[in-house]
Amino acid sequence: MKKWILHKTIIYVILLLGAVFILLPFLWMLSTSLKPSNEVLIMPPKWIPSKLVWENYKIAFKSAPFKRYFLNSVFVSAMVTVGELITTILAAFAFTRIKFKGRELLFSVLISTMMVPSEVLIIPNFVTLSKLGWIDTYKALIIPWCASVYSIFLLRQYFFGIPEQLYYSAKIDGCSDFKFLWMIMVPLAKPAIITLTILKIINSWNSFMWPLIVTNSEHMRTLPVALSAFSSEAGTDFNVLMAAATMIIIPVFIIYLILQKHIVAGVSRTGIKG
Amino acid sequence: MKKLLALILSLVLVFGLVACSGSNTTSNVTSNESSKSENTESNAEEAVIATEITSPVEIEFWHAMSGANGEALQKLTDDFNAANKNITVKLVNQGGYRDLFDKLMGAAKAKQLPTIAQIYSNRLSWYISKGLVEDLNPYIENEKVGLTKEDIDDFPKLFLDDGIWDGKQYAMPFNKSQMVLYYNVDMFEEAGLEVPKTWDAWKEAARKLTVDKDGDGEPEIYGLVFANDISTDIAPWVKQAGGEIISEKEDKINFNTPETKEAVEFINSMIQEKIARLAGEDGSANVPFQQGRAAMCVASTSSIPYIEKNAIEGLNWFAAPLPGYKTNDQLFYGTNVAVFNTSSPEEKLAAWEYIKFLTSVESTAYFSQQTGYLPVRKSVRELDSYKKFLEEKPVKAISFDCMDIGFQGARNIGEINALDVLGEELDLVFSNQKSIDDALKDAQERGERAMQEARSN
Repeated sequence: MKKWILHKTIIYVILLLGAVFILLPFLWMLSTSLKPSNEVLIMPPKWIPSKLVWENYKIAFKSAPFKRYFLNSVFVSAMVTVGELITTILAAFAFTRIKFKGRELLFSVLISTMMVPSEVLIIPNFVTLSKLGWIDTYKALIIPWCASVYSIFLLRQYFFGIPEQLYYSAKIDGCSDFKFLWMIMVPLAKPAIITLTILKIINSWNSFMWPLIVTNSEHMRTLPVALSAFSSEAGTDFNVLMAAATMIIIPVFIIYLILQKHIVAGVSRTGIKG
Repeated sequence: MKKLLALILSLVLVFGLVACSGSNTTSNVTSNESSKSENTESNAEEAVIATEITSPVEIEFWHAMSGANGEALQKLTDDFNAANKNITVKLVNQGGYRDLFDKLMGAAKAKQLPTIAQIYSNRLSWYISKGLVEDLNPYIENEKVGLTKEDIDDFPKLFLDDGIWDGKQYAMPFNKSQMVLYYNVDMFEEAGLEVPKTWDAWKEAARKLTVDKDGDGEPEIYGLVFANDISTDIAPWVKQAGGEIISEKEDKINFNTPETKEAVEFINSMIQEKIARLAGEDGSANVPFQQGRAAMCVASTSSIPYIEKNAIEGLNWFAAPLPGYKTNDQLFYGTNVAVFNTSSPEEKLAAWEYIKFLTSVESTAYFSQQTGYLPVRKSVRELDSYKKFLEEKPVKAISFDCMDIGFQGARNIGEINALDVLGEELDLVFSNQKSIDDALKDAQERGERAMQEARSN
């Protein structure tokens, strides 16, 4: 009996330490967002501000058209996620169940594209988009991101885990590939798909470099771009910046809370953490 | 099968490399050709700039001003737009300086340059070399829309010179600053020290003001803090030693020279003695200073608003010109505004009218009061409103007296890459991993190579 309690306590202590460790940056962000300017960079670091400066949030909110940026972020993230799910599910299915010539070769080529660092692609992509006339439009913000080799790879692994017999027996019963994919494979792969969804939403929501580069007008920009307003060559207003960052994180945090049990199920089934 | 796959993949990679480098050279050739034809076109246009705007014109100004700086710029722009019915200037914030310059480069390659942009001179050199920048002399000298001789003389000469290449004015000053020495007045008084005016006095002051109470070898208060990227702005010390870190006239870098060595030795001796240090994890030199952990720091005048806001209670600080050595040269820097010649004549005229407004006495006085930047007109000092402002913030008067002994850095294409190399070598010197002679020798070799590579882009 005693051994069991000791065992449990040790596990909980370790988990607690891990949780605190991971939460520290967020706690620091919250603490900094409420500090007066001259306490942000003090040595030794101060965790609790001498007074709670809620004005930082007001200043942050006024510094950029948050409402418009928010709508843009929501719209772009939603469209990108839907687009990616469609391409990923179709591609993963093709790469697992449909046997066509050069399938493995094509997949290897796709994987090799993951080795190209994204910084290399910024200027060529920008040139391509301006020639297409997509700069400063939603097209530039959404379409380039509707496919992700990483997601295809992940989902393909998961699809491999679903027995082939299911496919063959469905085929014998006269089920078309398309029907099989959407009525059987997708529901079975729900944990992996939800994981991909959440990852994509987070990545799209946080994307800063790309929206900054392809947009010029205030009404096309997304939330992370607002954060750049607080840094200048001479210094950074960290407290206001943290307030803005906190506001930006909250929607994603809420989505995560709602969908979190699916992520855990996804991790335990595929054995792959996003 | 696997071997064949590996072979095919490696072939794909090789082709990829070849294709990429191939397209670079062809695009260089085409851009050179197009710049030649554009040059002849603009020569013909020289006498024929637009002098009147008859229909509404909208132009974009790409900048990197945020926070208070951005608000001040917005107000000036709103005033201009209201006063000029046919011109609308659209401000486009492109993030920080690095983001702005990356985006300008992308726009140049995609032939989508805005009409005006805020830009450093050592970056503008590349655009000028590709024939993309509008020569402003025709506008300045034009009877109808130009500047009077009094106006031109009202600009500090070193600011205007920073925008002149081959006798042509390609940029006008906008947000300028000076590198100064910030010092803690109370600490100096307690130690009975005067503000240093020479290198020797400076070292003495740093030594006397460094405090290591618990004697653990790590001072709680450092005498002096330098910026982390000291190599980028090492010019003043080299100049004061009688040299030039990068010679624009001879188009070469002088890392391995006696003067540079003297400057590096001076700085390094203070670092090794632990009376000076780089900002390190503090990020900027003014951070430890404004928290009382440093008696002096070297930083830009554009840090003034930040020091004012973030200094701990009761910090009594002021600023002074950099201490001199063989000369008293002071470093000025900052960005200018330039007009790209890819816009229509009316758009370029609109841009010129806007620039005239931005650099007018009233505008630059206002901008300088709202931000940490310097006014770009000498007569601002005579304005009553500015005199009052200076009484409240005397620290901003320092730069006026330094303009005659001021200089701006060289503007060679690729020099930024060479200076980054110097920074890497200096870091090894400061952490005692390399001798100064070896470091400077390697910096010279690697720096020249880096500059060449940057130019082949």
